Amino acid sequence: MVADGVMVAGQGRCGRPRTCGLRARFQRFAEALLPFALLCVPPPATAASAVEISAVVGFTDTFRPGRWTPLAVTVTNRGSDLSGELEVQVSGGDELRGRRYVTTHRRKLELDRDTRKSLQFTVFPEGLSHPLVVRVHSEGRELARSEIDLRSRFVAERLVLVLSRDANLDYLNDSATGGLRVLYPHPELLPAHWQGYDAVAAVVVHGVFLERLNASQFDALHKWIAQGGIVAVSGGPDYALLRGSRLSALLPAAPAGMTRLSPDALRSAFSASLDVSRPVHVNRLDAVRGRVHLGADATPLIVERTLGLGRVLYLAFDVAAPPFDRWDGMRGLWLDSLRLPPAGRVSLTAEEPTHASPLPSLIAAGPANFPSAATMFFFVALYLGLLLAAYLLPGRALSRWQALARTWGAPLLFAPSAWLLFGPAAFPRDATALTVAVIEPLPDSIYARLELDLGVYATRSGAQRLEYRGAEPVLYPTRRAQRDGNAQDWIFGEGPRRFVEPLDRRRYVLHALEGKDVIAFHLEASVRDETTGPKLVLENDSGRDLRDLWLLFDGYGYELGSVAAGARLERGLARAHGIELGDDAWRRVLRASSHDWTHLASPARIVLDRRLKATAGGGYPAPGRALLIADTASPLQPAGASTDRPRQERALVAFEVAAQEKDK
Amino acid sequence: MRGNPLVIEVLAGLGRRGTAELHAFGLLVLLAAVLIVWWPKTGLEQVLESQQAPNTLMAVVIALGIAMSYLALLCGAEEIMLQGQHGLRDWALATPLRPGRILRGYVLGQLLYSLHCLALSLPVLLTAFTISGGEWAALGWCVAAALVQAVFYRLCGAITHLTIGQHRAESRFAVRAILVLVYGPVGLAAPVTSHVAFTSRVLGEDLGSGTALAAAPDNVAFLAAYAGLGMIAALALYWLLTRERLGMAAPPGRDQGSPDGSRAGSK
Repeated sequence: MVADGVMVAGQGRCGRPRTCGLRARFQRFAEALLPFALLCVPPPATAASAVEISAVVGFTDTFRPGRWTPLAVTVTNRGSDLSGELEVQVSGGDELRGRRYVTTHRRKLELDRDTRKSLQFTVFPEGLSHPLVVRVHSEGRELARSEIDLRSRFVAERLVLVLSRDANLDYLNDSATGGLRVLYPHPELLPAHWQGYDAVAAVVVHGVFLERLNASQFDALHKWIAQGGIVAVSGGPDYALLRGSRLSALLPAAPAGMTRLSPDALRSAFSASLDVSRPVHVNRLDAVRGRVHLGADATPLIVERTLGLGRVLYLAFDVAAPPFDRWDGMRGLWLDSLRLPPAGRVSLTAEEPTHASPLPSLIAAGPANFPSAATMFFFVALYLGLLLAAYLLPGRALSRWQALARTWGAPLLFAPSAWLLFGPAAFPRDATALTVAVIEPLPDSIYARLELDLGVYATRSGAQRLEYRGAEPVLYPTRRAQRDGNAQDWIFGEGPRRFVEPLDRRRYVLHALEGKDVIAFHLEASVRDETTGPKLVLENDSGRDLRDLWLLFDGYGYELGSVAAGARLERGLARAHGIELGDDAWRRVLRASSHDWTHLASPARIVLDRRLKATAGGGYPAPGRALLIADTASPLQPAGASTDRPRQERALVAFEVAAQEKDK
Repeated sequence: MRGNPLVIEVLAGLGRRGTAELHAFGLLVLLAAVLIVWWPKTGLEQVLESQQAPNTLMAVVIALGIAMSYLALLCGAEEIMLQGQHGLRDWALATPLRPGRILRGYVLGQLLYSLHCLALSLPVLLTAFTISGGEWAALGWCVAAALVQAVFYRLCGAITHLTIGQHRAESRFAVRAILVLVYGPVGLAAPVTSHVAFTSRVLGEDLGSGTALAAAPDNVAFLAAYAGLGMIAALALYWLLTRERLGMAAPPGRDQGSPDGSRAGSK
């Protein structure tokens, strides 16, 4: 029936039964092959799902908006070997206030078949309205995409991270304004950049070996403490965990064993409300190098040490064991011991006060500028004068070649001259990198806080990628641009080769970023106020030369010259040799000094003005403190393809030191 | 090209003193004035902050386009001529050259004169180019546009000369009116024909993509428009030249210039 039907249909269409029968056979053959063909060729959907993305925002998938936060992205490749890029797009800004901008964090991604890789980013989710977009692309083709809805993952409170297997500190949770939220992240997922702790008020370590962290994570933790972070370490019977090299470097005391404290001693140390009937074992501490915050008889129970601007506390007892785990007073004890600073404002929003950028004054102070109008005028006048003179020359006696020289000589001479006078040699045509850095060494620390203004501009349109090395700052569009609603879209390359690239490729646009970092910069200084004047001892272990060093103290400025890397300077200074500054402090020094500091709005002055505003009227330097100001090499240097680019940079060391009392 | 007597005449005339050279010098003075006026008055840091790239090159190229068009019109209307150069009517009436050959030599001669003006302008152009952040490709497009446009105006000038050249005042008015008309109302009504719009597009700072080639279709449209208009003008000129020659050959008593269909004599 079917064959007949085909035949009939074939006759009707072709009029030649034999041919149509052959066609029907081919058709049946093709129909039989089709399922096999479909099985052999993977559909596009299958190919696309060969790459899978999963992401964890913040700590245990919880973050605080308006704060830097870690983002762990895991990419699984079930297809063929993959070489591409992983990028995270973070939206910022506000459509109502101005234009929304997108910062793209990008990393190289190499994945073999059936492997997975986790990469960590440090991102700044400003709000909740736009999801984070994670993409994997290769050769211009998007292989996978995932959008992370932030609305179900945020908290408004500051975070307390508890690194523990069994401790329960939920009693610290407080949903009031500026309250706390306790989270229990896996140590291996801690931030790899110190700014990832931006939303964190304190970290509690309990029974965890810090050697589990990789080098970047421990470095990030150390830097975070140095710039003001608080870490509390709980003791316990397994005190060997605390004797690891990493914790030993941080702790204010070394555990030397266990000791028993009687219930009475404990109640007198903590509170009468502590429900304890038997002696409790606590760590016996040795080599105490901090302040004893709480003790029972001669046994230190809570010892505290400052590291830079941060603190490390050592609680000699097990906070997760009886009787402390059920004591109502533990919350008060924690808060009293941690002394958390009041909740600060969101750091990078448009509400922040606008600071002038030091980059324009850096450009103005530098050699790159338009050739002067006078030069151009004289050049053109000379050219026209020569042409006119040639025109007025009598032409009859001239040979053909002389006539040609008269006509074409001037343009042939002046065209290359124009290129030489106003061309690339005199005026930059490549993208120029600008860096203004302020390095503030942290007291009693090998680290320094780095505030950075980074700019790039070009006098020609095109890509303006800047590769750099030396520092790993978190970067963001300037607060001024955010406030004015004209922040631009940027690509931030992370990983081994870091780069920044504005997506706006227009010429004559200053693409500016602000950034901050904590860098290794070890400077130790002490200033003793003596009768005749201050006595300064300075050890420069920063690895960089300090140039044009000034000491500002008690209304006087003292010029100290240069201090080479690794050198020690010890000098008694007489007030008679200082410059009387009065309340002006560093402003007068900047004027009196050499270089471009005579410029009214020099980059150095702008960044120090910023610092002064940050003290909120406290003075800079504050009363009773001395300020060391010096020039040094920029910690952020162009690298890779950007090494030979023109650049202008300025790095200022500003070290505020508490002056010791006058000798008695 | 070198065998064409009109081209040889132009090549010989370029080195000599004459009104055309004086006008070329005037062109340079104009460009220099524009360069001085449009030179950045503020420092680099202020330009960067304001995000306004210097428009010096754009201003100079627009001025160059206008001046070259004006000179081409004047040359076409034979208000200015190179030293020793003959008029188009002389070539048509006093030589046995075919109108097609005359036309080719005429257009090539105009291109040579425009290139000469361009060469004289080169130091000024390069000075503006260095600070304006332009690209070579963009500058090339602009120069090509100015050259093609100048050819069109030269042909328009020649048509004016052949039609109303005997009335000097009207001719002078007509060539200036053509320039104002095409640069003003026509440019506004049909931006594709506007050299100002073209230059602004190619050299202007709103070229976000960063390459002049991004606007290539528009650029080609401009060149094609003027090439097309130039072809029409060349056909009209050809017809006029033929008519002139036929008018010369017409029997006495008939109006000059009215073609009678007979082959014109050589002289």
